[in-house]
Amino acid sequence: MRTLRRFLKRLGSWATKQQSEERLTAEIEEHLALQTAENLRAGLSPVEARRRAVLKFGAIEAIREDYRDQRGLPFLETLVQDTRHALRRLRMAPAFTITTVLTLALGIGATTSIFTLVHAVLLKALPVANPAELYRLGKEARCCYEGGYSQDKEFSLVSYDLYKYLRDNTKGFSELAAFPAIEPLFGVRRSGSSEAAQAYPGEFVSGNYFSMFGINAYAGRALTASDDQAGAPPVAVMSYRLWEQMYGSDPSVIGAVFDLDDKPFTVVGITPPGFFGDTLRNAPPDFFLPLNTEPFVESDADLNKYDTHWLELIGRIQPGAPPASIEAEMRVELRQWLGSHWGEMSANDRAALPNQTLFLSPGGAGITGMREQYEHWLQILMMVTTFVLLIVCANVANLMLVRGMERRRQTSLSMALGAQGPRLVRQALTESILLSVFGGAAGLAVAFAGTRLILHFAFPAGGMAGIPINASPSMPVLLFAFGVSLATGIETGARGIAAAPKKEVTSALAITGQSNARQSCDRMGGPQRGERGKPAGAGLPHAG
Amino acid sequence: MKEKTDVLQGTLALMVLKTLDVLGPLHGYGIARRIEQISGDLLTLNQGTLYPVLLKLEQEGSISSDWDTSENNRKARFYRLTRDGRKHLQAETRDWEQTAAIIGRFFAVKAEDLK
Repeated sequence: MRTLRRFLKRLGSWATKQQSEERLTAEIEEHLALQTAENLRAGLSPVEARRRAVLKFGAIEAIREDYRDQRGLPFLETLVQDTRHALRRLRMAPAFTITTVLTLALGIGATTSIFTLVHAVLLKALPVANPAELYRLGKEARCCYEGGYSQDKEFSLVSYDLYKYLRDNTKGFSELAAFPAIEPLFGVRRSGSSEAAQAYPGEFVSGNYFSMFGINAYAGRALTASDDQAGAPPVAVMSYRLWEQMYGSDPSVIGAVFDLDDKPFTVVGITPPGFFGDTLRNAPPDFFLPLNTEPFVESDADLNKYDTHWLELIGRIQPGAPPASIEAEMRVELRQWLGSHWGEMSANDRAALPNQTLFLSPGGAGITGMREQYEHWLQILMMVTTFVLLIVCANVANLMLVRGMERRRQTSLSMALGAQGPRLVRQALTESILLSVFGGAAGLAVAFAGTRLILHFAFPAGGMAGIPINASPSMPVLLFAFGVSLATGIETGARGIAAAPKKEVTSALAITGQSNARQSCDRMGGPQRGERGKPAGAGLPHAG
Repeated sequence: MKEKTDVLQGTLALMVLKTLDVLGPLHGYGIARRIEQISGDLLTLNQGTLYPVLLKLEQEGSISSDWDTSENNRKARFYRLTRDGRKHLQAETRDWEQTAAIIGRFFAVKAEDLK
């Protein structure tokens, strides 16, 4: 309590510096006057009386110093002084400052941008409820059709009939949804309007697709199981992106009829912003249609072909259900289903039947074709970026070391004038930290611009809003890159200065003095550049 | 003559508080003189060192100060004990006596007492 009150007082008295300085002067004067008077009464001569009084009072300057330290917050004050000093020194060396800040900015910015992309493509889960509960069929991405009753290595695409069999018999899934691996383009226009049709990607999905992901419509309603039945009125869900960009978030779109390839669909809802379907790709679907409308739109429909396997499966498992036992259950179901089609099988299919199996893999990231396609390249990119960051650090370290050498003469001079070693180290550190902070701030700007640029290259189609990746740089990565550069700056900055005091001050001065005799004479004699009007050494920290 | 002792760290503040408690408001010089008198000139006190201590006590709220006129008609800054300061002094006094008592026992102890 007492300490807190004192701290606040000290903080306050920081502002009223001048006033309390005058107060101390007045008090000292008064004190000396009283003591002198008493000495006079004791019979001393006026001069001697004054002299004794001053002697008895003690070292006035030391007391003033002590008083100042008690009054304000010396730590804060020296911090401000050091910061000012460092800023002045950085201003005096613009080439060094700009090079270092730019190097740091590029290093931090580039690393952050690339890691943001890597993070989004390789590591991020779908923006859906509890992505950890999702499992998908298949170990490897496979596209887009498989015919017959056998598949090489694993059964990873299924026909609609097999999907229904698996969906209805697998107890471990609370929901199991299906959708084709391909994403058809539709010619779309609002029904009754004369505008030219525009091509937008769409996706057929099973009726439980949205409930499986735990996604509610942003406006209107999502698709339901009753929409996905033969003979149900054709409905569609539109993407938020299309609704916002093409129709200006017009509420009348919901309930309106749109022609997709000249077939009328009623739009019943809008997906939430940020939802990009089951697959990270550069053109996410703009229309989600029930699977059962596939024959309605496509002339050569696949829906009712038992042996055309074209559907991907993603399911949400019952909480706590072990995926391995679901997988085993589904393998049995697969054999049963294949067995029920024994009559239609070719001789090859029959021979391959004992080898038919399937696998489940975590589906929280959706269908990860892009991940598998780019994983290798992104990893290489990531390594390259790490090296770039290392190179940046090495460069900054070099710049700092050179600066430390240049500084040696100044350091020796400061020490000769009585500066304290720790204070000099603090000054060097302040300078390094300031540089890192500037570099970090500039790096933030580069990271924002760079992330957008990289995403623009990675997803050229669809404009910014179509990109299913958040364009703001990932904060942890930014902080990490900033931390690394800060550590580099501090380490090299401190090492450069710490090396100096070990040398003999005078010899260091002598050596540098020889080589720079004229220059240092000029410097010491006249006012220093950037510190005009102050005597030489005024900018140096003094002892005590 | 017995050698003069330096003022023990932290005890100067306590002396200031006690002096103000006994004598009422005083200026810096007055406090310095009283401390020297009471200690029987056994303490070497650089009188100036008093001022940082006074400032610290004031910041803590133990004393307050105001300009006033001194006995020889000069402007001087007078320090007085606050209620907080009085409480602080009492607590410090208790602590000090306790410490002194403990140390006293250690000095008084003889080898046979512990057998």
